[in-house]
Amino acid sequence: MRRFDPTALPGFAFVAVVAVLALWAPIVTMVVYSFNASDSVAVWGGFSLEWYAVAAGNEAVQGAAIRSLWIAFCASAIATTVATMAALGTTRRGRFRGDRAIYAMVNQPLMVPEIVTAVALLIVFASLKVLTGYTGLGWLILAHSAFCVPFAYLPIRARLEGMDTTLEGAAADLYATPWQAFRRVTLPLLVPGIAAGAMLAFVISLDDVIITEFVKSAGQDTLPTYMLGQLRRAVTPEVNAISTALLVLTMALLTAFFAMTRTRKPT
Amino acid sequence: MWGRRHVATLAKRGTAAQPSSMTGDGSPAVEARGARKAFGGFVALQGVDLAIAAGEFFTLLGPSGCGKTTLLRLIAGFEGPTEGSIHIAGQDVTADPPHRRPVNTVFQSYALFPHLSVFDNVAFGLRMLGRGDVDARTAAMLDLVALSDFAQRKPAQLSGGQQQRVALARALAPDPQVLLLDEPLSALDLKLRRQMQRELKRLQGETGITFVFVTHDQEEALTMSDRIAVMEAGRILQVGTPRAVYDEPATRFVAGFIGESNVLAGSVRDGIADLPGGRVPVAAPDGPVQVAIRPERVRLVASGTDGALGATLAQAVYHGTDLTAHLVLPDGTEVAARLPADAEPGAPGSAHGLAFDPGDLRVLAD
Amino acid sequence: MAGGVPAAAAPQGRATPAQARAGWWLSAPALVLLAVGATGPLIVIVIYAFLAKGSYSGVEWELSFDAWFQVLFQRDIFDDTVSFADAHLAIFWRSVKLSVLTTALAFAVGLPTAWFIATRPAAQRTWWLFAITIPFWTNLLIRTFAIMEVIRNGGLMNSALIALGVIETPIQILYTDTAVLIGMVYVYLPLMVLPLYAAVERFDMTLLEAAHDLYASRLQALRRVVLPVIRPGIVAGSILVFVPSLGAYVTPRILGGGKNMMIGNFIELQFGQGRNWPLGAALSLILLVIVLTALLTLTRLTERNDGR
Repeated sequence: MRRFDPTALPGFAFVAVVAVLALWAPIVTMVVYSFNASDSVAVWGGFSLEWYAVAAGNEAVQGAAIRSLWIAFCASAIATTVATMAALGTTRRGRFRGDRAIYAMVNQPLMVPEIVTAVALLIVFASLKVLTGYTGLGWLILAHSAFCVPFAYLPIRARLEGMDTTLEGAAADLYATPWQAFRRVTLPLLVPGIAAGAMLAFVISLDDVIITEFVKSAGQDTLPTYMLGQLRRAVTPEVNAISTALLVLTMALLTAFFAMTRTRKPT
Repeated sequence: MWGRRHVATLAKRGTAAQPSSMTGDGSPAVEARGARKAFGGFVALQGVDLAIAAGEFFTLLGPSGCGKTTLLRLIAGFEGPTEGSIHIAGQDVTADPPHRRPVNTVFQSYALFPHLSVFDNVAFGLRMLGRGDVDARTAAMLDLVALSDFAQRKPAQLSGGQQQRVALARALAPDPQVLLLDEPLSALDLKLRRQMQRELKRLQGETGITFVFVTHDQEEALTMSDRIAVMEAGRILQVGTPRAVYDEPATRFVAGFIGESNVLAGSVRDGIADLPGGRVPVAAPDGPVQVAIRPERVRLVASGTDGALGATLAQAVYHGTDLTAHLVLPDGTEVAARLPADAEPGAPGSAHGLAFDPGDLRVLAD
Repeated sequence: MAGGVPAAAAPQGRATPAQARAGWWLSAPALVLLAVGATGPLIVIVIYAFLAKGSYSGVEWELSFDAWFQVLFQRDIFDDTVSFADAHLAIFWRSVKLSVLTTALAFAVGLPTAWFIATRPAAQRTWWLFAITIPFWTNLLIRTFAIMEVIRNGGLMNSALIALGVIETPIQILYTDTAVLIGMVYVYLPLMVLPLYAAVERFDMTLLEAAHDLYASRLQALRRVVLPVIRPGIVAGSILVFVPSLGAYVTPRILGGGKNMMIGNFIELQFGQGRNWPLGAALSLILLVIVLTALLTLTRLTERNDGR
């Protein structure tokens, strides 16, 4: 007789497999069609890298790609720096007055719908652009840095909380000054958390559409806003190619992120 | 194996470290004066006075929450006392942070740096002190704990016992005046623990460093220590040699915590204690009294024997090496008697007499 | 005396005043950045919601409740009569309806998925989780494009259905509420699966054996034992799906076309063609209040559960 398995609920396995397939099927289709030689998105015309060449040769795409990467680089660097400091400030010490307020404020971008933040930034930055006369990428970098903070903060904080506090005590016991203890023990152990946070922040910045759409000045398209602007009744093969390239970049970063967070946690 | 004190580097950093000759000048290696520690409303330590002599293997023994670890953390400098002061080798170090105190700690969790190799862990303190002979001394320490072959491993690649020895080597490497050990053996299994107990004792003998050892295991305390301080509820109840705290427990708590004890309550008049089941001579002033007797000091005799307490057998439990008879006195007090394994105390309910040498009775302070 | 104690020495309890000060100083750069780039502008929105609409765009700096009036009512431009702004109400209703449906559908699919993954052997679990996580981190825009390709008239789904002989002519799904619903379930499903998985993974499977031992059927065990125990995961997943659904902008814009707007698109409209910034600000505030209320209510639910 078959063993009674209480964890095998009828139909669950089927739904699960279908769900995972459904998650991947559209993405896989898009990737496949990015190699389509035909300029119709519906008909398969053989394998070709034509659309990658078209996208790469398009000056608007080049500009948007460079802008996307530059903004993501600056925003993740800034967000990770301030998030690391904030994580150090809000962990590994007792509770203090206002620590919950700090936590709430740091995570605020996760709680407010992005469209609301976007219009709020539009209002404020539009005035500031007129006031200061500056319309460069700085506004986008500032906005991206701000909403990336919680994404950098959370993995760093998690890493710090998983770290044995007696390690710094042991360093002090072995004659390390507080700075030496931080430099030689806390920081090296924190590096995977910081790297993970930086990568998440980078991916989040790279993906952003809404806030960028509202904050950007004329001629400041990033890849996502460029693609949104290109949308007609169907997705063009060129957009498929750009999407696939972005997808590969994101996957590479995420794989690195996974590898990093899966390394042994300090005990 | 190496010079007993390398304090020049510590002195250079303006620490309280002193040459060993000065620890022999009569000032204790570690001294707590009226050390009190409160965490908010909770008082972990209620004004402790304690002096630990140089070269001593000193144990703080007590159940969890008795304040022994807090006292250790006060000595290490991880906590500041709410009141009172801590002195190391005659110097007041109360205001000194941990990195300026010539003491090292073996942590309960070992607290080995997971990102550093065994070698770098052991060398850590030496490097912080800016010592010149880091490589040679680290190698010597690894040799001392028989881990030379594991120098390049990471802590996670070692067994529990090996991690324990790295923690020891790391703490001993800077040649501290005092080594603090916070329940260092609690994570090891029984066999390894026995082995490490002997190892620790050997290391202490070879290095001559003062060891302050925290444990809740009374057997461990008895086998390893020169002196033991028994603690409960933030106080030190008794300080003495293992023999003294075992044979002459000062309080009911000490009697019960170290080894097994039968505690009998009664009242004294003219040197004779009126105990449940009989009368026994006791050296105590008139009034109510509590006396303790170890189970192995209790003999079973025929019911009604002169000078014996009348008792009824409740249960006999066979242990292999011996046999414990659980008896009940007329007032319901339970008494355990450790008998030879071949003793035959009879069936439950049978009447017996409990006899003992009056010299084995301990009058308890509370 | 306290100065000698390193920050790490007292992880529990209250921080010393020195530690608290250090905590504030270390957090200060993040707080300033967020104040300028996120939180501060939200306060400006509150102000704008009570100003008059500018003649071209922007605002006139005078106190006005017009925006709040316009949320619910409209004034006829010819005879000045006041009537309910049916279009606005329809947008609110569609937003809430689609968000609730998205959350419910995501749960219906997400629970079996999370359960299935959590009951795999440990080595396989990593790969299944990876299969959920990668789409989750893939650009929302890209995923929306991808699902659009699947459901449009000449797309994968219609082609497959025609090839199978189920239908003869393509069904128009794109630019309907159904498209938006499918799209939102598709893009937010991982947000439901991941917290549910975390909860199911911690679930003690012997509880199920105990339930069956006490004569529960599979359905009863699921309803009476599993669901109450994993409730924190259900609440977390629902928050993570409901909140972004309600504020969704990209998915309804692409899949809903111009007509099937949700609140997010309607807000955008006020800052674009509508040129009514105060109304946009008021709508943003309403959206914010709904979201925060939902967040609070749902977290209360978990806290009460944990408290027992």
